[in-house]
Amino acid sequence: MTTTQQQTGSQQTALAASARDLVRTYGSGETAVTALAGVDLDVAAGRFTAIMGPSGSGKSTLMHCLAGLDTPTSGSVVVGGVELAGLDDTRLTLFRREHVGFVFQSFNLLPMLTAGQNIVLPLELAGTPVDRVWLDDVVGVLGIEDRMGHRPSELSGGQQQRVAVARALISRPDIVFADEPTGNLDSATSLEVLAFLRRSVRELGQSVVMVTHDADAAAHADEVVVIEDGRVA
Amino acid sequence: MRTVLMASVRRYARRYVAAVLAVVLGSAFVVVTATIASATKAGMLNDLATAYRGADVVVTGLDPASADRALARIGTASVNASAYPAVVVGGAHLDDVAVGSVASHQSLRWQHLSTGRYPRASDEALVDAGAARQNGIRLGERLSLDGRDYRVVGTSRHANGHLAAAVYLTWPAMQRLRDQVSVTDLVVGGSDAGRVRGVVGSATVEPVDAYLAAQAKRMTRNVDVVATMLLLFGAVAFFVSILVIANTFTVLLAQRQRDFALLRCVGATRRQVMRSVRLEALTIGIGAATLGTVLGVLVGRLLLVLAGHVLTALPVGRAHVGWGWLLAAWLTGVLVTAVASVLPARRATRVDPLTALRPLGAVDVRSRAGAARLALGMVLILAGAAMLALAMLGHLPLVMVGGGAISFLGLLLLGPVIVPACIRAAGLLTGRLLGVPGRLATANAVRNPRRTAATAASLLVGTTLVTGMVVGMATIRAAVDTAMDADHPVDVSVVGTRALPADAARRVAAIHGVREAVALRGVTATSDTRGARLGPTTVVALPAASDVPRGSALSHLAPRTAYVPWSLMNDFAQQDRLTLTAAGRSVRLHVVGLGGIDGGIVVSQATLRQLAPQAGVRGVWARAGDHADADTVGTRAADLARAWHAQAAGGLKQRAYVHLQLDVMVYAVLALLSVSLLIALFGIANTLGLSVLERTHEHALLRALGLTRAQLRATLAVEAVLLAAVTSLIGVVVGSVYALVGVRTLLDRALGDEAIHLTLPWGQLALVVAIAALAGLAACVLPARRAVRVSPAAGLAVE
Ligand SMILES: Nc1ncnc2c1ncn2[C@@H]1O[C@H](COP(=O)(O)OP(=O)(O)OP(=O)(O)O)[C@@H](O)[C@H]1O
Ligand SMILES: [Mg+2]
Repeated sequence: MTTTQQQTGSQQTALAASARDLVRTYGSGETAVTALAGVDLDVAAGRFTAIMGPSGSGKSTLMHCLAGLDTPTSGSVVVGGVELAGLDDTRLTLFRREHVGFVFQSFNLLPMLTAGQNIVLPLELAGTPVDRVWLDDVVGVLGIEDRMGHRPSELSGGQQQRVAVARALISRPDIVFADEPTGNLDSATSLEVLAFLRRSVRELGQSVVMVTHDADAAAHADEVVVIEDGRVA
Repeated sequence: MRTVLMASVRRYARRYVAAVLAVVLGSAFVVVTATIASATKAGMLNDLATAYRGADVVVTGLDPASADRALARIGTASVNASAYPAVVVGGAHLDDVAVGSVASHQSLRWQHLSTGRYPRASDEALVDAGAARQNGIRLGERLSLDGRDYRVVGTSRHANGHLAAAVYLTWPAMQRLRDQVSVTDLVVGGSDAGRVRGVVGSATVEPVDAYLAAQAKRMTRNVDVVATMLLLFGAVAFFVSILVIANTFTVLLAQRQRDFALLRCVGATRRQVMRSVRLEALTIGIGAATLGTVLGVLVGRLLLVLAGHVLTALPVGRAHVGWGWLLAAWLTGVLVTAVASVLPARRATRVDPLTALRPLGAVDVRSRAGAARLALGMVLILAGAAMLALAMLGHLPLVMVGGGAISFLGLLLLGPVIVPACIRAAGLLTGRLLGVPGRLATANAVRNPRRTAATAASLLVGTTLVTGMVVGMATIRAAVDTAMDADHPVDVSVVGTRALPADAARRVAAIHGVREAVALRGVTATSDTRGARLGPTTVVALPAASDVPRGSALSHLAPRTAYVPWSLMNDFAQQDRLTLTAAGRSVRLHVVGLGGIDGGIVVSQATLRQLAPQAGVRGVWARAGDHADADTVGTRAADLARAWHAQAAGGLKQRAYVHLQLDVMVYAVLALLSVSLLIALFGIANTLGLSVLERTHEHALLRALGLTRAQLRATLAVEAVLLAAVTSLIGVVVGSVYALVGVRTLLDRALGDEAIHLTLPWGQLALVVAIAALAGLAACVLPARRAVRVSPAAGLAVE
């Protein structure tokens, strides 16, 4: 992982993720819905990329396919130099565990674990020891040091999202995906979370892809990709 | 609200599986019990009617002499009598053989001939076909009853009922058994009560109808007692059902709180929501109870057909289950569902409309046991424990039952504290062994203490009862074994009136199932006691330092003492003096032990040396292994005995018989409790399934973060196994305590003054936990399969 980090650090033009002719259809026959109708996309490493588009345009589907959470109907996805199409479920899971971080719109945290336990969960799953310095760093940057022993139900929505961001960053993944991370937050808290994501790109060299249909949110990004009717507009 | 109700039932029907199954099993159990009870009654009455087919008048209260006098003065009559003489067939003693009578008048004979003919002469016998098959008795063979020989001239179709026996003799033949005989009654054909009364004097004379009616009443009362006991198990099953159903409703309705809140938002009153939920419960109860009643009728029929073919010893007749029973079973099922749903419905519908607008994630999924509940639980446990202590001290069974019920209720109330704490402790181990899945499983298992405790409660009832039963029976068994060691110290004995071959002990030891055999040296001697001389008897010496005899009765004999066998028991009493004489040498001894063994007076080695310095091998004692088959060992020993002109005997068959009785009782109770256990396991599977459904989003999240399918499956499996194993472990502990109380209360007196030690059958108890754990594993198979099939993306889409 450290080597990957250095690579992405040195080659600013390298790709964190790319999709070629990505198609995803749901159902079959008369009721078939084409969520993605041939998407070609390159996500540059070390950049903050926003995916925008109207509701139902396929943003979430694209993100799920890019992140290896969903299997596309056809087309290819490469993340961190690895072609996802050839991986079976277990290898895909191990790949996510080590190379991808996530922040979702809501229900990001496991209710029975404390904030701290939630943050280090990806490391525990991978059996990787926790890098204390890095953990303190991330937690400190996000300002949630004093919340580590609380359970999600005892945290505000903004705090929960910050914990989720910390969890996404803790394993220093190749790429972090965020699906409307600020969708449930008021504008002030939204700004905070966006600022943190932005900071992680600037200061930590992290690649971040964020889905949003909020133009204000997209304004924080380095690049904006617009999706319409399952295609890059 | 009707559209809402119907839509809910349709949509959630599948989630009620456990509730439905619980009611189905409970109702079916009641109907099956009623069916079997009714069939047994019919069968008994049928046997009774058959045995008195030709009779018009029945005389009771006769002794053999007065019966004989009456018989001589009445034309068509027959004496029904019974006796339990010492029976020897082909060199082997048979235990507990009932001898009954067969009428000489054809019209009064109730036995059906299978082969041969009815006995006529007083040395002829008819043998029940079942008994003949069991003991290998063939037509033409000789039976020895109390030393007299009888020839088997016929076999009769196997019969049941209070006149049924293994061997039937004519009345004159029976009279030769003398003091063994007890007269059941005298039946008279072709006469009336008035005429008979003039002949028999003071005895009771009844027309056959009146007699049969009285008998039937007595018998059906016995069946009713047994049926009531069976229904107790039905009550346990229904109690467990209530727990399972209430839990199912609690979980389901909690998941639907937002639906209810939304209904409230759009204008439904609380009453309307509540009524809708109640009607839903009622619909499910009615459906399940109907299903269960029908199933019970079918299973009952099936069991009777099976019993007719397999268990010929059971009196099975035509079952007639009244509508009352069916209605009772059905109503109980419906009521149980309704009652179980009351509290969950009230709790669930108490939501305020605003809940619908709050995001789900904000609702705290943890619940805490209320302080009042805990206090009540503590009080109940203490009160129950005090009652149990009182019951033990005063031997008060009713107080014990009350104390048991109260303390168990307290335990159930404390469940939300106790069960999660135990699971957390066990979880430390699984966490260490299995890493993340182990830790996640523990966290999942304890995150909702109330639900965990409620799920555990049903299994706790079953495992506690099973453990109490298993431990209690093991304790009784140990006590009975100790008693039997004194009564039947020798498993197998072959003792003759002549010398046995030198390798006799080796030959007996070679029998499959015999663990150890030891030769007995002995001699034939005459014995004088109380101034009378008895015929020649065999005298053997107690083998030195042998562990062939069980217990302490025959571990040591002092010089000048004798242990007198069963067959001479009538001639001696404890401490009697006797003189043994053989070939001019005499020894004077006194009796220190009686009964328990067959074949010869036992003396010490020194005494035998005095009496007959050159004594040769006269017998063999053997001890059987723990799993020896008593019948084969007995038969093989009898074969050897016949070849050596000796007699085989021993306590092995008796021991096996007693063990069998205890085993049958254990298995019967376990089978009856298995209904409750099954319901509990369905409950666990259902709760687990519902929890998994509830956690779809979380599972997707975990999968997104890198939990593999195998790890997710392991997490769910560990959660189920933790819950089941820990619960059954608690059940085993609690059940053992109850068993101790039960034994102290009920058995301390029944089994004499000897202190009873609680015997813990570790193997069986481990089996209880292992089976529960396996069942938990089985319970999670379906939910786990569904859970791992969901792709992370699909799971995340679920709200
Ligand atoms: N599981 C599914 N089955 C069928 N159709 C689906 C499924 N998931 C998504 N779709 C359809 O695919 C299309 C794209 O959905 P997607 O969730 O990607 O949209 P989106 O851009 O994220 O919208 P929003 O901004 O509202 O979140 C939509 O038309 C949607 O109805
Ligand atoms: Mg979306």
